[in-house]
Amino acid sequence: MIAIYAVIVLVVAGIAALLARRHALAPRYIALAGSIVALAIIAYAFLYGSAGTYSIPWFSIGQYSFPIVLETYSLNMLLLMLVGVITPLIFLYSIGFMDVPTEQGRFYFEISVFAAAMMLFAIAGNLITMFLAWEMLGITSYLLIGFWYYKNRAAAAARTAITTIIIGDVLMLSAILLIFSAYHTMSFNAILAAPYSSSLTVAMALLLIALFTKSAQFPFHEWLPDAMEGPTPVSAFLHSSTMVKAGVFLAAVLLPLFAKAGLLRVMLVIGIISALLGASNALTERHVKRILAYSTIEDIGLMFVALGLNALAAAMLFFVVQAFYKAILFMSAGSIMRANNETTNIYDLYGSSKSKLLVITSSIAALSLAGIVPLSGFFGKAAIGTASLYANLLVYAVLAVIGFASSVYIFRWLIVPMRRAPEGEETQISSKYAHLPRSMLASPAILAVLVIAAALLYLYLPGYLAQHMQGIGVLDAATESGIAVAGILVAYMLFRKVEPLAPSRHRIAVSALYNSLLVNKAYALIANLFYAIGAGIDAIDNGLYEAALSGGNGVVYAGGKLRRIVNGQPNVYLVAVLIGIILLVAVMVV
Amino acid sequence: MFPYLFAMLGVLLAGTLASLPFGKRISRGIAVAATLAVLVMAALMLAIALGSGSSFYESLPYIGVFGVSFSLQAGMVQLALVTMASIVAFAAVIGGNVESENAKASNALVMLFELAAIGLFSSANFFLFYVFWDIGVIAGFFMIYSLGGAMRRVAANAYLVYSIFASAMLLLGILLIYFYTPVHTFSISGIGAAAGSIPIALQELIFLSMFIAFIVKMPVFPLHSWMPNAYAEASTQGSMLLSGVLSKFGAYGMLLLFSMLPIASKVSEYAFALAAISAFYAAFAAMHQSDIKRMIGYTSMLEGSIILAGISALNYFGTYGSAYLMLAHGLAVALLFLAAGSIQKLFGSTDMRALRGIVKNAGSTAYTFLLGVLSSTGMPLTATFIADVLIFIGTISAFGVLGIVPLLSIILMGAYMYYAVRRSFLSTATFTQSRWHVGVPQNVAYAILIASIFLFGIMPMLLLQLVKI
Repeated sequence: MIAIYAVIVLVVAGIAALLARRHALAPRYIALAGSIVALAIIAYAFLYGSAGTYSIPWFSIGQYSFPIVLETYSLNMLLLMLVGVITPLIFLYSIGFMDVPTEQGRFYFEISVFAAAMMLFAIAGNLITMFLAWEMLGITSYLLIGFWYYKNRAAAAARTAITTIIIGDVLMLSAILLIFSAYHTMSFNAILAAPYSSSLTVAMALLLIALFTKSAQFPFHEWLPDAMEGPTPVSAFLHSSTMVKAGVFLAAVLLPLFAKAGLLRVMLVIGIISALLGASNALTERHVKRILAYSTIEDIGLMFVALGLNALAAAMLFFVVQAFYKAILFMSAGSIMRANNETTNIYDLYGSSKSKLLVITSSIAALSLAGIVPLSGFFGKAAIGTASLYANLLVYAVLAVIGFASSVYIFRWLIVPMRRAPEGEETQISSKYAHLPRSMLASPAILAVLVIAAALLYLYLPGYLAQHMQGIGVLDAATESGIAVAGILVAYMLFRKVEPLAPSRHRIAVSALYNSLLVNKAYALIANLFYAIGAGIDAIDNGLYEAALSGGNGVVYAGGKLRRIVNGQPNVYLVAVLIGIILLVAVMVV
Repeated sequence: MFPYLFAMLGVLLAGTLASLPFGKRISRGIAVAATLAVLVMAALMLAIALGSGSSFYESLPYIGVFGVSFSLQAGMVQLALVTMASIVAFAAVIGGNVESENAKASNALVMLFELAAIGLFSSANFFLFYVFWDIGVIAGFFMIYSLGGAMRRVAANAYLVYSIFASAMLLLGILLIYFYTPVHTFSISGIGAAAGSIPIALQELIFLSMFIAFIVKMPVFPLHSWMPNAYAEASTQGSMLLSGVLSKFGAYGMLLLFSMLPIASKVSEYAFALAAISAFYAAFAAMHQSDIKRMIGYTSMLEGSIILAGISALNYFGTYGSAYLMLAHGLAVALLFLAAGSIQKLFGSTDMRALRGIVKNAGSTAYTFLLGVLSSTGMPLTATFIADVLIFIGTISAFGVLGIVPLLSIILMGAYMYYAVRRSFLSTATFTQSRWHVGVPQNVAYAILIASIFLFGIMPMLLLQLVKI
């Protein structure tokens, strides 16, 4: 079981980076070295390791045991390899990006553990191991999103994220324990092989909600755009290969169970809603990173659509290829922001065409996202489109609309910051583009090569996963690319000049498409409802306290009265005894 | 074999008495030495139990007329609690006296309280159980009454009224058992064997009176009203010990009660329902607190309710899970109250409406608090996670899908605790200046508690290996 050493190496590297925090430059190189070693280990395990499960005892009670189980089947190795490849590239980008010397140690510690958690998640072979990695992901993402905690918005974003995450965590644990109670095992293999018991439907439904929280699907999606307050390498990581992918991955692993529980339709519907919401918000959002965040919600939605159609291979193909272009897009956004003094509104960003490498890599990524032939993104999207064509024409039509919208928004995202900077700022901005740290450009360049090369996965992935995938016909390819080209043309027409879709002119259309505020209002409403219940309970609680207090006072008061009666005078006692006897007789007679 | 339990009680009694005539520094030295010695002995007992797989039983003749002997015992549950109490007391002595007032009295009280706790958790009969119960109540009273905050008198009086009521109910239950078992015994194991012969109506009465006594202490709705003020007004050491250890008096008693009386199986559903109500009640009440200590108090009540839920499952998952949660929660809540005490000393307030930017001023305290929150919400690798897993497997097998309901209250609690963290710890909008510096003792105490939380979270077999089924 060699793959586990990748996890251990990264955790050790993270701790070493934390300990070396006083040395300004050491943490970044320690972390980068750790990630490269981890990649080497993973590559070795990928090429020479054998598929199987490995069990390490953890705890047991009675006849039941709860071991740590790792498994290395093709799905596991696919995600592990993906995380393994992306991690060093993110760390490479961070070398240029994270130039605050005092925060190095903390950053590399948190992000290394984050990466390690995702790797552990990839090879988890039973529910309890998976949950361990799942929680580590949640907690480290909380720390990373709130990395600049002294910024009010970052702290708020971190809280939104952790609130969503904790809903998912508790539901996930509930589901796990329900599944264990039904099967008396936590091993994926055993659960998938066991006959389905109908009592599992509740558990699988809870599990699905938990997956939606982690993968930012409707109605739990708003934490993801807010999470853009974290450092850009974190965003690039979060959206490409870690965190949001965790939910999709687990859905893929347990897909037969969801199918038996009849929840595929729910996946399909929620996936479509999320994709539509993501695309519409991305069309109208102005924050350069939030556009990409909504785009991720859309991408993940499409993956759930594919899983909902039971097209596992198509989903996993898109799962992998999406990581490469999305990482590039975020890295480019970080570079553009860096050159424009950390401005975030795309209409205030200028001159991205000044850096040739930047513009080439981000164009490749954008074309891949839009779904232009032979880039890997095309194959991912077309595979899902084809799957839907054979299953449900309505779904296919909606996906086509989403595809069109995504090619519009991504070219809006690409074209608008290309404009020439206003007079006076031009030289300053060009020189900033010229002085971008090399690592911030090198990392996307490597990823761009991967975006192109990953097209080959279309040929190999179904065989590797031993899954059937509907072939993409010439007509499908033409339609898919045609829609993408149409979107690009529309984007070019609309956005080559400044300030289209200004809120003043298209207010109704924009506010209908940009429903983020509405969703946040709904969240606030629910939170306020709970606070109101809390206030009510607190009032009851105070009442209870007052009642107890006055009860106590009453006893004291009664004690005072009693003292006057119990005064040792026989005649008083005699009267009392007489009354008692009369009462007793009365009770006996009646 | 060396009488570890007697030695622990002896050391603590000697320490309590010896610390009285001396000044501040010597009394602290004595307290540190005594609690450390107890901790070492607890660790040794655990090691011996793991090695030989045996449990402990130590006995001396006491009051022969009633058939009462001074007998102590320790199996898995008792060892878990004794270990927890000795860790919490040690941490409280090391770093708990952040107020650094009345050092002498506070050290003596911690040792007296630990004496009561260890005595109660290991007592083999209800006579001793009751004696140690009352010693604990009295030590707790003084931690509130003479060492507490501004409102301490009111809080202490409410605490005392509830405690006396609980003691009376407990005594009633114990005496009824004694008179109505054919063999007239106080022995806990003896009662378990003989309780079947007690008439059902009387069992109900015994169960009810003892149940009431224990839910006052745990505390569980509706008899928890003494709790928020008592925890908030007690000294930091007092809060740590009251919430971490004293609440386990009730929880442990409840565990004994459910394993002792056959009637328990008939009322377990009601107890579970009460636990679920109490958990949500506590979670919602916590959401309306602006004082960090009161908030922790309500989360502690929530965990107490989950302990009751586990006990009411009446299977070994629930029972041992509850015992594990007693350990885990004792450590976690002590950590939270220690951090809250440091915050009180640092900023002169624990009102989260006023506090800002704690992480900037007192990094170790802020991260410690966050760890306490993570532990309370059941993060894997902390002891609470193991406990939650066991408890809810137990409740699911006893009550079906509904068994999971109390767990959902943790969503509300966690969400609100993270709100507090965001508001008081992270945001620096208006900066609160600190007036104090978190010292080495506090950091050492944090480290002890954090290390213990992870030790029992990562290596649960340290205790679960002792479970005999």
